[in-house]
Amino acid sequence: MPATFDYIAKASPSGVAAFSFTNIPQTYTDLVLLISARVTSAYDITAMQANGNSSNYSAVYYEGSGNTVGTGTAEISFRMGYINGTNHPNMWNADIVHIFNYANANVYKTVISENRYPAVKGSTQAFQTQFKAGLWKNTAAITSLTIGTANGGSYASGSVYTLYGIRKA
Amino acid sequence: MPSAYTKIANFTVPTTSADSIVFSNIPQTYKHLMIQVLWRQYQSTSTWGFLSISDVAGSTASNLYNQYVRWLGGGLNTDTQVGNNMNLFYFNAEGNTSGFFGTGTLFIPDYTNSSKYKTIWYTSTKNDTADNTYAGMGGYGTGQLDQNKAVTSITFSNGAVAGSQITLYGLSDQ
Repeated sequence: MPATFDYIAKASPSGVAAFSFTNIPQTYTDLVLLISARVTSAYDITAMQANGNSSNYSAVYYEGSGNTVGTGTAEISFRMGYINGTNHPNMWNADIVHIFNYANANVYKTVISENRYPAVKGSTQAFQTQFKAGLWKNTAAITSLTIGTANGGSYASGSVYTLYGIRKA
Repeated sequence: MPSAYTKIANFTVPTTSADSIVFSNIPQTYKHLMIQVLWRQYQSTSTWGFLSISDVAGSTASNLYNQYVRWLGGGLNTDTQVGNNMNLFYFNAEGNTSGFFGTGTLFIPDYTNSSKYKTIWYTSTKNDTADNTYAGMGGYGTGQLDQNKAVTSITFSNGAVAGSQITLYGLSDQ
């Protein structure tokens, strides 16, 4: 039986604010990005652009512990959630991001991300979880992803982003 | 090419029991762990239950804690809680209509890294017949192990009815 969930690439950014996955194979149906990261600043936000494009991203989201529901429109990137930093020593955020139909040149691209931003023990207010449904209003097949910090913070050593491809059976 | 998503172990509860479920000798050859759960709590007669992680790599309650947000049925109704035990909310319990099990996914990234505190990402849901109050509930949060130990074992507890399942998968980075 052929494998349907394959490893594509890994990035271990350290001391940089952005990096890219390039030449993404077009042989899968969907992409999954798994994240464990920190920044060396107080905190930051993960942002992602497809094919180096900086327009036509939008999202709806739920955010707790602030219990906030919101939208973002006409953004320059898809923002996937908070990244832990010096606000919470030793805490690493964990995210799962699904990018659907990324190689299909006939559809706008949909992204779902689930972000966890843990806080230190006993702290309630700084803990965050974000759920986002995002849209890149562009039909181009995604061949590269540029991922970085929205506020310019640098990634801490030990950060890892792992990209997988899901193939229809 | 082998799949990057490999089953490591599965445990299906054979008879309703309060016993713990232990995954030991977890291979250190993957990058991440993904855990799929089908769970109905045995010990509670409440209409919701939870799954506990009582030990990770020999570290127990003093180094485990949990932060989560819950959504209740009947509209967006949220609450954020912090606990000093790694109790993962919400799953079904014996107060629910017979046959309903909660489902959940746990994600432990970079679990072999001995230089990181471990974050346990989870999403879970419980369900019941639609006409029951709070028929559906969702829990979303993080469990924490505030130690750098590589995850070599995980103990799930809190008791489950027969048919509950926990399956452990490894995700490779090669």
